[in-house]
Amino acid sequence: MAPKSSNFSKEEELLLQDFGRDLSRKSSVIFYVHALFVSAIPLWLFNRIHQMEMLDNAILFVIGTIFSAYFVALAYKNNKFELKHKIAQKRSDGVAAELNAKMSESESKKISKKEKDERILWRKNEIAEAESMQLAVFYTNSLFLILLILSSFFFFKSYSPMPNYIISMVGASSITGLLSTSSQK
Amino acid sequence: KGKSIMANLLVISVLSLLIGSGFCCDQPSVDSSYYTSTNLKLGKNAAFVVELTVKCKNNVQDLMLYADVNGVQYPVTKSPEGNNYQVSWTAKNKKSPAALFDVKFFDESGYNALKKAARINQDANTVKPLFSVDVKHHGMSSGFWVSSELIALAVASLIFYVVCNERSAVIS
Repeated sequence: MAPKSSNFSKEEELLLQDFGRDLSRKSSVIFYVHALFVSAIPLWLFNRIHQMEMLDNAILFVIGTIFSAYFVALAYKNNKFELKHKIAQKRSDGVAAELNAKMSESESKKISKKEKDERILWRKNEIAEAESMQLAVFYTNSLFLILLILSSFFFFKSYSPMPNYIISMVGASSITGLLSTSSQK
Repeated sequence: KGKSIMANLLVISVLSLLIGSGFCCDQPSVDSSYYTSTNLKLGKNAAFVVELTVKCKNNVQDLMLYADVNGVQYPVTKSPEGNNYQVSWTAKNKKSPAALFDVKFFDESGYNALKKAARINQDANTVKPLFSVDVKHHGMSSGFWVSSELIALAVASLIFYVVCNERSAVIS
């Protein structure tokens, strides 16, 4: 945890926040909305293929969706954190070159090196944030859905729909969450 | 004596013709529906059911009908009320692939003529049926040879493989 002491300047705190594990409000909302959607997809599967009535199982479906959304969002967060650093490193040179090219010579002389670096850092952060979010959502969604298909249609195929739903949703979402935590170095 | 027997026979045949014509359906209008089984997993034989509503112009009720499918005859049952008839049969799957079956229906005299034609090795097609119904059989199949969940898994795996590649390219 980053100590919130006055040893850090405001810029440094902003930087820490940008590259820290905590999410901005906007990213959190995006993640939770995505997680809710991807957790609601199996409802269609269990309703249409496993013939579970929507209204009869409404409570179970709501609890299952929220439970799974929590773990999927956790996986998004962890994956994004891990990916963001790597993407920022990779895009570093490209972003610097892009900004240098954008700035005219006179402009580039006008601003100090520090400010230029800050601009690069800010742009780098922006790009890494967007890319890491996309990749994390894509990766986590596909992992979650593949685990769900495997468990509901192959491993627990012979189970009746309700235990199948419970086991598949809990299993797939928690394994997705677990894998996202274990992959950090 | 021979003449009187001949005369008797003639009278009997004329009488039978007269009685027979009373039961003969004139210009039948047929309303038919049918069902054929297509799922090989549920049964190895193809089942056919044809239901008919027959209306004769001369308003003949209680027809005795026989169905002929590729040279095999089946009796047609009649429901107690109305002019509703039903005939069903099964056939080995290999013998009835997807095809359009021409189901011919005969009344009693037609059926007798058909039997007679078979007895004297005459072409059965020369006997004109009362009416005929086309039954389209789509053939028996056990469905697609790959189950749909396997296809879903394969597609999901492919997408996962692509995204894993992308991810490992970023992480490395």
